[in-house]
Amino acid sequence: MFRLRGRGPRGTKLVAGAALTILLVAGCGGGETGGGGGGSDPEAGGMTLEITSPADGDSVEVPFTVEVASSEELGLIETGAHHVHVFFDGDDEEFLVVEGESTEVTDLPEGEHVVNASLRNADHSPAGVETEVTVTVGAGDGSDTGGGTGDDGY
Amino acid sequence: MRNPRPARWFHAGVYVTVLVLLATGWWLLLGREGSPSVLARATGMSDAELHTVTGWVLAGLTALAVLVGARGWRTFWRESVRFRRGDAAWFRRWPAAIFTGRFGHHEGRFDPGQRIANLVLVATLLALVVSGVGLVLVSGGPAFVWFAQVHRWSTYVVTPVVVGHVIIASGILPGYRGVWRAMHLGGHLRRADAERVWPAWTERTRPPR
Repeated sequence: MFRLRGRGPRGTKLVAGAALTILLVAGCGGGETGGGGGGSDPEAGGMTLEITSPADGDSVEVPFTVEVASSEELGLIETGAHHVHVFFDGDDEEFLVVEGESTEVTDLPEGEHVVNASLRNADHSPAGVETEVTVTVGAGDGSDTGGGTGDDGY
Repeated sequence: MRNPRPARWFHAGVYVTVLVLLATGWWLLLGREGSPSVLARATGMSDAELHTVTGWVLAGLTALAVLVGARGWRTFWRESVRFRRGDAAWFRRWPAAIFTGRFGHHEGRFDPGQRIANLVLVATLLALVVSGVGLVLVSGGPAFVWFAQVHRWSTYVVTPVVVGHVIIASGILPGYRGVWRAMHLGGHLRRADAERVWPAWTERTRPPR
């Protein structure tokens, strides 16, 4: 499709350099741009995110509802609105997508867990706001928040 | 040799990125965000991240092709937009020919079906790249909604064309046996395969005795 023959070594280097630059910029242009991982300021840039239920230190029983509140409008991704990723114990590889104000957790082992929440832009990139609470999942009577308007339960 | 090395490498770069994009894109489209796909687990990236990064690579390849492949693009475009009256007969014979190998005659470097596929693929892939860049740049809001619609509908159009292209190019249909060599392993086709699928091009490019 293209000929490098006939170009001098300088021309070839220019082309290769341009190509490498484009691909490097391209590869760095996507992916997470936020702080990544826990520790992001829950009020970065004026945006806020809070886990309103369960409260930090609560004991809960599966299934339980995680409720969130944000300064940003939360809604369906295809509307361009923000949404929230809820994950556990810092493992953000698997998460619940919350396009409203709550989601139901149906599968979490007994014991102490950190419930993480990350505010996301519609394109799934981090908005730079994260928060977390610690709960204990047990078989005893916990502050079961009951069913809510959950999105895709897990 | 039907396609020179730069064309074959460009084609390989495009199809690897497009396959990753289709796999991750359809995974997300089907609401599987949050449940890592095989590709996500293998790369350690979320499907959304993998889709975005791979999209940038495809955008980079596209820019590279525009920068250094002008002559190739002119040939590709010229050979893809040419249509003659006899091409209709080729299409009538095509459904049987994919099994019998008895294609209708055509004069092009690309057969009439390839020419349509070329145009659809270029148009939809360009729409996907441009709308994809738009989605990342705006991240949300009203413009995001518009870019998302373009991206989604382009996906619906490009997917069956890519699937058809892969099926035909793989050579599992008897009429297209051997054509995969045009883009792999040196690009050297067997003469019989080239004569069957691209008769006029094969005759034109036959080395002088």
